[in-house]
Amino acid sequence: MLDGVALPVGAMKVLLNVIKRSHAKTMMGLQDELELASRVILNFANRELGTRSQIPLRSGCELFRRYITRCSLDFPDFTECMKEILNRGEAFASMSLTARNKIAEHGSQFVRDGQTIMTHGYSRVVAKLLVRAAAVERRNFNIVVLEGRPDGGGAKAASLFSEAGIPTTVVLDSAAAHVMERCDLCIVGAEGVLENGGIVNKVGTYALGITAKALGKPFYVAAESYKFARLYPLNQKDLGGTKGLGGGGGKSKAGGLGGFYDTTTEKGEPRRIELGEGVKVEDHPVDFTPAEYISLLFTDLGILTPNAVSDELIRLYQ
Amino acid sequence: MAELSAEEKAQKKAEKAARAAEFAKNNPNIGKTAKPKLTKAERRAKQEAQRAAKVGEGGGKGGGDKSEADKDKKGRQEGNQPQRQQTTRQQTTTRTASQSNSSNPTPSRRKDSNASSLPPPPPPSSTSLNLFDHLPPYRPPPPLSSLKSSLPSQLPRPIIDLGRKYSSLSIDGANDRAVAMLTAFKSVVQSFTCPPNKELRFHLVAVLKTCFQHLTECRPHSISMGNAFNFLKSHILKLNPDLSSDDAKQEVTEGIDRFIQERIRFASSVIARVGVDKINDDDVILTFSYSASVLAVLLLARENATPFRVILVDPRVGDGGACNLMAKSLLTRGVPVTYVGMEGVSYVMRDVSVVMLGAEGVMSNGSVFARVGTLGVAQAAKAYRKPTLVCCEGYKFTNKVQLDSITHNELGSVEGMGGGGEDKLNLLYDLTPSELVGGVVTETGLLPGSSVAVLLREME
Repeated sequence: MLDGVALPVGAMKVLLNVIKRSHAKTMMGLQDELELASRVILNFANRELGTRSQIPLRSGCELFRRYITRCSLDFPDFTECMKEILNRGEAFASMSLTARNKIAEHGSQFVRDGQTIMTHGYSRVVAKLLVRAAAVERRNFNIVVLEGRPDGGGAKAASLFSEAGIPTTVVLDSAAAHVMERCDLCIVGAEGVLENGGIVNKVGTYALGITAKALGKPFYVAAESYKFARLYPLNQKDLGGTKGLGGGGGKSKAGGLGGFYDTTTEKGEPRRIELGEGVKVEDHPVDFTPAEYISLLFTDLGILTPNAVSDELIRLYQ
Repeated sequence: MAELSAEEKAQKKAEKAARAAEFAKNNPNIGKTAKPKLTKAERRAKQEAQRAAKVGEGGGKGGGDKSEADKDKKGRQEGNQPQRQQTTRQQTTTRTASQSNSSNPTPSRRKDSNASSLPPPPPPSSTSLNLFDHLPPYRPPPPLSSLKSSLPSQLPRPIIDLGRKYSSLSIDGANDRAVAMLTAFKSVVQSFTCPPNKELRFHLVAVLKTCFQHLTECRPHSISMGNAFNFLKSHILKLNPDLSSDDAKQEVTEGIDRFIQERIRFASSVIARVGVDKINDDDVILTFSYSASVLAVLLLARENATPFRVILVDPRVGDGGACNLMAKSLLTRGVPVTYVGMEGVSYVMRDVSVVMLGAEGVMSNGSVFARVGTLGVAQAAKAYRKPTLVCCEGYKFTNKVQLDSITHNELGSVEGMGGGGEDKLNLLYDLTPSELVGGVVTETGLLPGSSVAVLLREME
């Protein structure tokens, strides 16, 4: 489960196949085909998986394309270049697979005996990190995870943790600040890592970051380097400006908030609450956590401060 | 080596003595006369005389340092000399009361009046503004008649004209000053003839250094001018020494044209495109006084027919009508402008979507050196949690690090400043720390302030 293929890595494999079947005779031709393929992938993901998939997919595809087409400068002959492209493509795809392992290896050093770790949402990178800390490093710690409405991501993650033998507690999203004082640190994943060192992640991450900073707890982010995106939102609203990514309420796969329930009924059966006619419901799948709330990022390029992300991006996109 | 016999040793000794005697005969002065110890004042006088003599030769010593920091120091040194001469004299009179010091003219008169073509600055104030005495004092533009008589004849006409325009502020603004300087230097290069015994590259650089020094004396140079001049110097020094004079001059002028076109004009248009991305429908953009880069962004947004409006904050004093120019430029293109004095900035900040500011330069730690008042606007924005963007071309990034607004700045005219007292101060620039800046808009995109150092590294 933890080793399932990440969305962007899957997209990269698709692009690799596009290259293998391509009849293009020039670099420009190949780039056009890849661009078209990327757009098809993104549209499909948008329809089937919701807007949350957009950032990691887009940045993954773009990085992949840049990485392989850079070699056109070193190999002016196109057939030779194609060979090199395929090599690089395979290397990049497998690099992305091992990224999670690298992150787990370095990040698990931050989990020590006796700690309580707070996490949010269902992130396979974070799960791999924590499971490794328990199973391989044999550390004894426990986890508090937020429920993660409306997709119940936290609850899904909790079952993974308990399978690995880590004592896990699930709390309401709104209880984050309440339980923060007994936690030692927070680790979350990211859908995208931004140019200014901030991250885009499941909604609630921003609140968690603010709470952690207010209470003096370190806040760590685990993310693969193909999630680095050249986006620069100035505030939450600006995230919506980055082409419909949930700033004003994007479409989430969960299909909305799934109704509101009162659990304080006599029999204990949750009773559905009828909202009035004029009440608007906004579903925000993601939010933006600025760099000032993030202590460190665990990536396959190393353990970075938020400032270093832009440095890495400049290098990756050169 | 084999051991020498006694007689061989004696022979060698004799030969050595002979050589020493011969040497002493030919150089009778070595080791005999010690250099006379001069007092500080006498050393200074000697230095001035040497410098005056050198300028007479045409290869100005001023600006002979390569780094920009030294260039700034040079600009400041000229202003500092009245101070230093004054304290020097005080020190020497107290320390060596028995020695008679040569009678000196009034301390504030500068001795190298050959190098300086302008009337000396007014004497430093003796009151509470000592904190700013290290800054080059404000020089009102000299009357035309005095100028003609006191200039060294080597200065080319375009440079003299440009210097006058700088000191009268008829050319102002970072980009305009840099472009004007480069254009004037272009004509200097084109009419330059290298004397046959001199290498073209070094001599040309020396001539341009004198010109740059003169321009700095008319008005302390801006970061944009300093960086542009550094580029020009290294461009000339990298020329193939085997080029013919005409070819070399051609390459230099082409280099200047490319710099203006790529690093200034094109960069501006890219900044406009990057910045316009952050202007959404029905946004309210707040900006401060005049900035060419911000104007480019706003006019492009207008061209794209994005509905938005601008709040223009006017510093009121000391910006030489720059704010009026900004207002006019926006209004004539149909951009709705709300005009507010500096005192009203916190009142209007509530409705603002994005604050966009221009800059004279950005330091390597991400702090922004800009027109005075910028810091105040940035602080108001932070208080209201409004995002702040600074628009600045890459050629205005500098390796310097400045920690406050005082260590390096420029003093302007105090005319038009209200209040009755004598102590008036018009600082032209201030420094906005990087924490107050949400992002820097440059030709390489929208970047955090911490990436300026990275870009500087890449640009080298």
